[in-house]
Amino acid sequence: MSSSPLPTLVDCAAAFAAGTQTAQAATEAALERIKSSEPELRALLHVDAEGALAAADACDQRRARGEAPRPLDGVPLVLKDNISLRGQPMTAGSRILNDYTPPYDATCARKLVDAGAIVLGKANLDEFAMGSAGTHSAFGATGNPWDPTRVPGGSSSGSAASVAAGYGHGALGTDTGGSIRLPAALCGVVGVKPTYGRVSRYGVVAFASSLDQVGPIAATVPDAARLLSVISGHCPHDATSAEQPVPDFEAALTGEIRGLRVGVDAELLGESPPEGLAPAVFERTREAFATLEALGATLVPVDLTMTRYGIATYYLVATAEASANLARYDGVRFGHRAELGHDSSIDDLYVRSRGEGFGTEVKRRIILGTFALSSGYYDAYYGRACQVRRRIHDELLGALGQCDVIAGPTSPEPAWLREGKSLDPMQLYLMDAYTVSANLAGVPALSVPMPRLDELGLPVGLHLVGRHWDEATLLRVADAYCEAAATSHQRTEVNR
Amino acid sequence: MTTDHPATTTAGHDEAAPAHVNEDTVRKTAWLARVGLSEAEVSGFTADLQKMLGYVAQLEEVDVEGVAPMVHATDAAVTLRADDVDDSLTPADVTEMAPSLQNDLFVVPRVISAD
Repeated sequence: MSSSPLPTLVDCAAAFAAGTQTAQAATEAALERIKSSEPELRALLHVDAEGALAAADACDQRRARGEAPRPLDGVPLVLKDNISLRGQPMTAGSRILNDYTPPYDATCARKLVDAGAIVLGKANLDEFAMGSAGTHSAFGATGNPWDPTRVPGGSSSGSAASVAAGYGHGALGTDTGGSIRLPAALCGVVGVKPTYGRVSRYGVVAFASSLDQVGPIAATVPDAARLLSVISGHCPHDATSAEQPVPDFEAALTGEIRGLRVGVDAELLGESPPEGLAPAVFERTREAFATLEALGATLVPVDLTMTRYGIATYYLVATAEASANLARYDGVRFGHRAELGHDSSIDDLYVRSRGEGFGTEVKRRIILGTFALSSGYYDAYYGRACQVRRRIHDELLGALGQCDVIAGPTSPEPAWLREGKSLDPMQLYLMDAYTVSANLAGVPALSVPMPRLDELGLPVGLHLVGRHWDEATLLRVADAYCEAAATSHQRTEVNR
Repeated sequence: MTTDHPATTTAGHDEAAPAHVNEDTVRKTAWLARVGLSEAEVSGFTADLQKMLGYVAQLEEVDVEGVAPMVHATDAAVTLRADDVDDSLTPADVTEMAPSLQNDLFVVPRVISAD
């Protein structure tokens, strides 16, 4: 695609290394695209044009000095605004962090910058990454680049929309129950949730610490693979980051998947779509299975009965953890503090600062999570959810023992209208039905674009789930599929 | 066990909502979480909580006899680092964004009452 006006991330880095494109030019072009599309999309909460141009200049000077190119030299990209970068404001999409500027870098952000990446700014998100649509940001909803009247998916809404709109060549998101994969699917790009522990969570705003994981969003599988290689690895500041060797994920993209076993939920092999799955998405998913078979893979029916309890389990576990994690926002050390009278108590300070600072969805989840952990209800709700989580984990690992990857749809529906589903939170929670199990089990998963729907032209995603630490196989299947289905590099700038 | 797909509707679970969850439950829970709610939020969250608890009641169908709770994504031990002195944030870095600060101390309202 190097002849395209919008190169891929890999091509952009190659052009920089070859001296055919300066970092300055790539950054200026990206800033120009932001300027023209941002009034409509609102994908970014903060644009650091000055810092980006300075970083680009530093890249160009390094090159002029003859220093060896780094994997992301001259590549502009964006960070979800729950990832710390020293000196740049970070809101997590919440009024409670309206004036917060982190005093340190998240490890994943540091690794990108050290690899030569140019950070254009911080991407919009559902408040504290709680949402499936990108409509719960305290600073306004993001539009879907394919149709701005529709949602981009959440919670990494701005990250996925930025990539689809060509702001930069990649983005980082976070995924607690599908927050990278769902917006990637709805925006027609690639989103990877790595194995739990693959990427450091240091400096990333905690939502549900046993589920949260940082991952890349990009226009192509090789682009995502390069970003994943850069951000992965053990970090001494995150005790849950694993001491696992990090393979060269790009080198794993051989295009060869002959003999590979692709597990498919037996329900998806029937004549008609399972309840809740849009017929058009079902049709595309079936076509994707046929594509994988044509590439030499074998479909293996697997039993995923327990995953139907995924949403119920997830929304108890995630909200319980969130209710504890969000206790740190108390109006004392940083963040919003309510104006109080002289006779106010410390409890007034907490109650009012948090009441004013948190938005509706965050409060709703804190209430559910606190309730699930409260005396008299703990065993019935949180405790039982943790037991069902074990059963989902065991079933999924059992299924992954019979196959190499599991394939299915990422989202039950294509991007819905912004005004839809806003009244009933449960309707939105159900959009995570296919994605939460990977978080509950800690295994890696990704979404790759399937051919856009005939009607409306909206993107849909193929969801692939793999074994612990085997992102390489996931990416290899995704890459082979994208090439065969001709869905690589779906961006509005390229496809319109 | 039925073969309903997870992406099913919420219908059919609502009637299982615990009858004892009411506005007072939400007020008490909000107090435990120290989150101020408007009366409209109390009313709305009561309905939401009833609906969500009705939905999650489906977990009662699952046989969890003898199943160890899974409270983390991995059973692997956490990795510890050496207890070495390393670069860290300065007091100024940490206190810079405090809403109220006196002599490097965070100021809060009176914690212990006079009487």
